[in-house]
Amino acid sequence: MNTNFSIEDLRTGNNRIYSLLYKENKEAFYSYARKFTISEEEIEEVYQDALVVFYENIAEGRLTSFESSIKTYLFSIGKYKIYELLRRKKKIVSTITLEQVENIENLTHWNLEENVLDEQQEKVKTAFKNLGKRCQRILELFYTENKSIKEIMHLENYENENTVKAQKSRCMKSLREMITNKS
Amino acid sequence: MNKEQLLQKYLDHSLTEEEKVMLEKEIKENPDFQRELEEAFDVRKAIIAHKKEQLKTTFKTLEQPKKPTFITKFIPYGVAASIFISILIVAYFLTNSTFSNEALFSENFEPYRNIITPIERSEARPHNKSEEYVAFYEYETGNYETALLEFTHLYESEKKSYYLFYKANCELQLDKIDLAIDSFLAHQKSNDTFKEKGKWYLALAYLKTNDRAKCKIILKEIIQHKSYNYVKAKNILERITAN
Repeated sequence: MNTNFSIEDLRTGNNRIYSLLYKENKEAFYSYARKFTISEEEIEEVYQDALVVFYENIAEGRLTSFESSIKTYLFSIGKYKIYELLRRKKKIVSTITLEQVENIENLTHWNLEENVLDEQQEKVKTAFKNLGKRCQRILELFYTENKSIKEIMHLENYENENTVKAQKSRCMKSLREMITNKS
Repeated sequence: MNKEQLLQKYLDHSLTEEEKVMLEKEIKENPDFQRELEEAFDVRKAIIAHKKEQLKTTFKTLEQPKKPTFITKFIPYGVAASIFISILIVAYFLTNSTFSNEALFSENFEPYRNIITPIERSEARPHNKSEEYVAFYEYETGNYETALLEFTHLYESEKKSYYLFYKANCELQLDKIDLAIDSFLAHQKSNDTFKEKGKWYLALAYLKTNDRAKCKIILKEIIQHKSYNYVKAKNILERITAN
């Protein structure tokens, strides 16, 4: 039933891919989560957080090959998030360790809390948002999707590898200028 | 292994011992490389954070139609009940016209065809295609929810007016009439080739909300200028005026 996506696909953070994952796993996750004393709004929040955390870990290179299905990963993160929520609400007194959550063993080196950006990274993010589409794309391909210069050349129809390198340098230069001008 | 690959593996924390030595060597020989690594680290964090924001917005949009409305959530039941009764009374008097507006809408509405990007229908799922291709693929295959997400995103990032036109078409098809009206109105401010078509759809959207007054004004304008679908516009105008 679940759509097969490669790690490469998932690293893109593409809205369409993640919308499909969202729809495909929602019902099963909600049925599971309803066993706990948490509201529908909380389930929605937990589920959305789980998908975002899943993307973040994939984009940071923490998953190099699938040991279980995407659904299992999402459930493991989601379960951790539910336990965290219950603990905050003091429904579970003791601190839950990762091992206590079913299926969590394959996530031991994952970061299950959302990363917070430091001041400099916030500036980079703002500048990145203001870059042109083509620049955003080349930087995404190189810095988060780990594509080689040659792969970028083919994917984005550049003439040769040197053009890719030159374009990437220009984009980084614009990014740096925007950061300096803002601060 | 080249410098670029070393950098990417450094970001992924996946350098082998041997590669770590290579990286150290590279830093020693080229002091700028250390700065490059730090910069790359921040750029990756920033891009991921940006993508996360986009995903969160997408997920919220997916849930939006099912969220309880302000009325059902906050207005006490008694008030809600009296509103309901009032609606029933008004509906009783409007039944005939409401029905015919609805019927007229269905008779005349179909989402405007894709004239932007030719789609290969044989393809199971577009792979390695541009976002625009994916949007029109979903649109043509009748997957309007996903098409709407794609067009919304494309319009926000590229501001091309035809994305707004197709976004509005998706909204109208999905019965999100108020959103469709807002989008068609915003689209009217542009001067692209879809402007006249947008008027026709705006008239249909008003018809659907039973706002006959606004619907008539636009229909008359279409007929006067003999613009897109003016014969159909004439027909609708006659029928709602006779009713």
